[in-house]
Amino acid sequence: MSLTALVLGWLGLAVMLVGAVWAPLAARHDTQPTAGWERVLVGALRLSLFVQALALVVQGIAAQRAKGSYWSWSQGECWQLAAWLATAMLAVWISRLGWPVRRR
Amino acid sequence: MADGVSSEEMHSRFSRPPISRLDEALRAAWRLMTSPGTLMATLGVLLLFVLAGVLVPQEGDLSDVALAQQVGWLAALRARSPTLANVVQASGVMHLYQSLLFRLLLAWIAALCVVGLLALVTRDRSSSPKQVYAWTFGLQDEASEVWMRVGEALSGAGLQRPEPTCVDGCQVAAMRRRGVRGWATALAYAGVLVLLAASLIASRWGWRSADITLLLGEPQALAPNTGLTARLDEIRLIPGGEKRSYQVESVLALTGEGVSKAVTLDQTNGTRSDGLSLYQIEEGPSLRLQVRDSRGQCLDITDPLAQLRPAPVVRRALRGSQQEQQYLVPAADLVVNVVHFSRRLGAETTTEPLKTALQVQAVRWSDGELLLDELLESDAVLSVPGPVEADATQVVVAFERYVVLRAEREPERLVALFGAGLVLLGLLAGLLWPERRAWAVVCPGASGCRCCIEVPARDANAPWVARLQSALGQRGGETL
Repeated sequence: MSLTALVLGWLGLAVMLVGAVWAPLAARHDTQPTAGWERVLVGALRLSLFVQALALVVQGIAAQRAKGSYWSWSQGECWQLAAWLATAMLAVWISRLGWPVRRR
Repeated sequence: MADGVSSEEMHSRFSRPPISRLDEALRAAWRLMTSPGTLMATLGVLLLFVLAGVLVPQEGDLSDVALAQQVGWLAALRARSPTLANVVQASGVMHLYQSLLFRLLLAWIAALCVVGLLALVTRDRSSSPKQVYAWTFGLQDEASEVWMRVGEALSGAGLQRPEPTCVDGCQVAAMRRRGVRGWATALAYAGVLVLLAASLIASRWGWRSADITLLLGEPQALAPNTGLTARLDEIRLIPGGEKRSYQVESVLALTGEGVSKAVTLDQTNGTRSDGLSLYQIEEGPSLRLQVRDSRGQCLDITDPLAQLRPAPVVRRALRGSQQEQQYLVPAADLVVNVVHFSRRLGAETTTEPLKTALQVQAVRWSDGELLLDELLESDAVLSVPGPVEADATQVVVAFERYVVLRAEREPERLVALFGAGLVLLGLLAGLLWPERRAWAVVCPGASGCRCCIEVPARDANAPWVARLQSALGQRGGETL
């Protein structure tokens, strides 16, 4: 696995973690803290998705140049894609949660 | 008519009654395919497939390395639990990404992408979601003037101008971000579609040779229909920097109809030649074995397992560790056993070169007597005693290197790169310009119009909503 892709992959996960820690702090003065929390967290997840996707593309380009196959379903590639899919699911789930308490 | 109407009642105006059963079915399908729940479920199923690929090595690109890894994994599982290994093998989980189920999932993802793309590039006609932040107000103007004022306010907040439709005596409109920012996230859907198209192109028009092991000087056909042959002419070990202790370059001679040229490959870069891409996907040590009689004449060597014709020189790629090989030299009444060991020098870092050692044993074929047992780390000429000293036979062992070559025709390469670029642009657009949506309903009454603006609940405190309210001279709202 390309070193750049590996670093980017971990960076993407780190962004998500920082977002989870930062969200409640950033939204503590908000009149509707839960909505602000959601905004920060979803923003962090989107950034994480982008960085992880960049890692996948860098990995694909390196693999294509070296072995002629940008995607080969190897275990390392599956790990990377699984992390991206889990992040995407989390982003969609948090977006649809509807943090304000009152529901129709 | 609409005077004194609550936000909840105004909210119900967004639901247009279906005009026919087909309309109802189409709307239901559209709602299903654009709902976050469907997206989550699809991502979840795909995640399960991918996790299976994490746990069980897949065939993947059908390379020798991938197949060897899969066989090794299955053998290790069989040693621990033969029943589980049989179940895994019979279930087809090792060929998951070639299964019909996975192809159906990809087709479903493609359908979702088409619908997602259409939903973003066409005018929004959707109803507002269940959880919204809404505010209602009255204006003493005609409906057309109200829409103009609302339109200006929406435009100032970066949203599209409304194009209202009549529903049950009121006019409703749905808006999203204005211009490129409104549809740029659709590039991600387009990118996934292009990537799926690239895999179709690869399976229809692409071609890949089997992995070809090349030993020094031996020509091999790249593929029957290409007429091209490759011969490994030279291996260069180039000292590298900190990252890698040495770089292995191979110089190949390509010959075919109207083709005769030399190409250089290395571990990180392939090369293109006559419409084919060539890749050096593996390299390693190889053995060169000769046996000479007392007069210096080369004797024929037979490999009983490989069932090749007897030859005066044997070359073998030394793959893996503790690889054992046996050669027969009938003319000298000899059996030569060679065991290959590979380990890293000092075994401290993985960047150090592999050290190859060979244990060479010579056994007399007729009575099994051990005549020679040596451990070699470099080229050597070993003398095997005969019945009389003058009959001594020489076993010449030399270390060479092999490369594994793969040839491909890849028409999908640029398409896939384009798709990946689109996905990245779409994700970047989603990051820079998060989705911004609003729904407006205007109901004419006896003393002017009642208006209701709704935005997703999560945007209740967003600056753009504050701008929108300010432009309409409104403050506050309620979460429904």
